[in-house]
Amino acid sequence: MAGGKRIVAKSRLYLEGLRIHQAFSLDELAGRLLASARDMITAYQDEYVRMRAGGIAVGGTAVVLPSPPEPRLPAVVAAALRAGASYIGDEIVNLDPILVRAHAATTLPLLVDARDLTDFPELGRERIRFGRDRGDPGAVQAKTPRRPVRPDELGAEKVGSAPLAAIVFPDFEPGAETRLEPVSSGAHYLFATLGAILNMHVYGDRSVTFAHRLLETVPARRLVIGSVDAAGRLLASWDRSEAGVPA
Amino acid sequence: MEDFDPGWVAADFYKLASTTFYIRSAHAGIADALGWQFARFRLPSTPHYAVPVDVYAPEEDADARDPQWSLFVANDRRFGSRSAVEVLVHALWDVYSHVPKLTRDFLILHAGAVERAGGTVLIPAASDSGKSSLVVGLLERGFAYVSDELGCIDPIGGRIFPFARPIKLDARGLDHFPGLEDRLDDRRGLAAGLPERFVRPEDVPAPVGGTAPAEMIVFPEPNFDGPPRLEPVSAADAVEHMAAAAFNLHRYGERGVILLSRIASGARAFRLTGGSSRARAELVAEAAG
Repeated sequence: MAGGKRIVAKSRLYLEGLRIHQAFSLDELAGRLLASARDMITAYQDEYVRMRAGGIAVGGTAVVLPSPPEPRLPAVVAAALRAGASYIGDEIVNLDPILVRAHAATTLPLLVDARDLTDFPELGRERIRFGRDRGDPGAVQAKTPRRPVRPDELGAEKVGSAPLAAIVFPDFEPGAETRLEPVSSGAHYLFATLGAILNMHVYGDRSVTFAHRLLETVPARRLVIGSVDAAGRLLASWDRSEAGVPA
Repeated sequence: MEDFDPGWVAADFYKLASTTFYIRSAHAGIADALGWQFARFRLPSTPHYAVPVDVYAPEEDADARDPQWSLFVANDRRFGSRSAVEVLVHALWDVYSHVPKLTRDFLILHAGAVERAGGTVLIPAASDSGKSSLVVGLLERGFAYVSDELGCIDPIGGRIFPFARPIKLDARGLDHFPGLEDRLDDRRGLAAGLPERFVRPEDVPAPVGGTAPAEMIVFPEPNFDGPPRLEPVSAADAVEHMAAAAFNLHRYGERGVILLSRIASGARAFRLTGGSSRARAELVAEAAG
């Protein structure tokens, strides 16, 4: 403008005629668009049990991280990729109940929370310009800006599917020692697994059978996450022969 | 269609396998016939998504003395006719044919099935092979009804789930069961014009079965000469025949074949030839133990 003033305008994203997001950053809009695309792509993949979970492959086998809505989950997956794991999914993983394998739900990149990008300075992404209150966890996922990050930007490969070797329940405790612990209370983690099944409305009671069988046959651990980077390195060093004890 | 009211006389949700439909009709006769046909699948509550199925006369035809009725499925006009019976025929065919296309959480075979004592007899077969008549014959012999058309295999447990729609028989099939026609309730209103007859399990009478693993797989063939014969089929051949009868194997791919292999390895499989419907049912019931 005259006088050298710069106006920075917000861009708007519309989906099926509805405005679903607006932001100054096109990178942020791209993240929101990809998140919407991911939801649309995966909505009807009911030939799998679809889970809200991160997924990585280590040594040819899959480690799946079922979780309630948690914007930091993709950052944990990204940290694992940086530490040498291969990529299956950042927040949605398809589980094949026939062969007990974890499948990538889409070929889309990770969608990392913008605030977590500070943990990945090598990506050279812009910092978010305005602080965002995390607020009510139920509303977090709707408000949180996401930025697309390709696995190869973290030096990782994509894996279409891998046999399921372990289920790891992430538990964020900032400042705590990042560690793996045995799963103690069966009922608690059964409910945690069920809560992560996104197409439970399709599978109904069969979801319970599936979750039960999964926890009885696949090693399960709790991952206390004090540091995203430390959690990523711990996951990437997963040793299947030790039933989950890092090498 | 924002300002046009088709004059719905019925609007209900139905869940067939895992596919939910929202069926509305502005034609009372078609509404009644569809309601009877899908009664077992009616949902008491509103699901979060349903495939819309609408039957109505478009606005430009609504006031005509003999309007043309149109069938819309998923907002796509599928058929139109001044004959309500023809529209009903297409509506039934469209809804039932959408089920294997849209259902993904089961591996679905073109198969009948009956159940007894926690074991399912799965009957994969093409049309006109005597599958539905065999199902009715087995219901007469104490089996519970699972399906006459869709064998729904659960990928989690490998069990066969019921799809208990009314059994469709043509007049020739019905002739094999003297006395059954007197117990049927399907010739109501517009449905009296349908070419087939529909047998509910309670007409036989027989209960609806529960979910159970396949203990026996019978492949009926359209060869009715001579006495009925059951010839053993290898597990590999059974997998091949089941795969050929699968509607949605393409969604499962290799894992679907592995699932069928597990089904076949846990069941005795036979080819069924010869005999009348009742004679076949007697032989199969005896073999099932």
